[in-house]
Amino acid sequence: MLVTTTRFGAVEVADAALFTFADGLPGFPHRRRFAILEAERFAPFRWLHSLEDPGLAFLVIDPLLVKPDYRAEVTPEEAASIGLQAAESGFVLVILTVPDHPREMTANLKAPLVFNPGPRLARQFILLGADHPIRHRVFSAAATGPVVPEPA
Amino acid sequence: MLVLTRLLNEAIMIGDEIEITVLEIRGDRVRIGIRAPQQVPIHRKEVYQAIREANLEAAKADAVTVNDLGELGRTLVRPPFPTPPEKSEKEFKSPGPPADNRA
Repeated sequence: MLVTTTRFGAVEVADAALFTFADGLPGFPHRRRFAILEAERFAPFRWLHSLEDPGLAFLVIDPLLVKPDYRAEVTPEEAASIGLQAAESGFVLVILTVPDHPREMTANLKAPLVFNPGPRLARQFILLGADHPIRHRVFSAAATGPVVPEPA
Repeated sequence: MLVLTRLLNEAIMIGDEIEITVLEIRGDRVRIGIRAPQQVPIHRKEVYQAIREANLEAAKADAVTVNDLGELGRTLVRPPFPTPPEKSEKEFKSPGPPADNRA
């Protein structure tokens, strides 16, 4: 389907890229339908784009690119709320906050987005426990050459 | 805001499926039990507020900034996993589909 966006104009997305967040996201409780946009020119970043608000989109990324040992530890009950069983795997993306200096972007590891590609349901879960920062630096401050994600 | 007064072990119903019980009162501290369907998210308010604010902030990201990051973004790689399976195993693998969607 065609998605109207303020950042990219009109974008054609496959059905497989469309997901429903039954309760929206914290801060956007009424925005339920989103598309995952991917393109070579911004890979490995992707955009989680609202189907209902042309200006609403989140820059997202595979959390393993940011923190190699990251686990989105949700409870079986939470997983069940989007139709996942504990043993099944969905896929996970995390939301990035991009300040004025993009090099200083941070990933929200505390509240990952979990997607169930079968029924195309998704949800933002808030992980319990103190280990997960809401703002985890993606790029190390001192890096000049190739960057490996910061250690835990 | 609806204000109710409860004694220890008394409860409140919200709708048909949410029940809140006062489990323990000790000084300033109240222990509250919550029974609710699994799809209802329940969090301490300050945690929820923090996530909400982070989302609002994140929603400001614009495409131009990201295009500038082209080279930097491509330096993000997954380090090889020499660790044993149970260490690298995860509840959810990522990333997943869709590979056939191109913006």
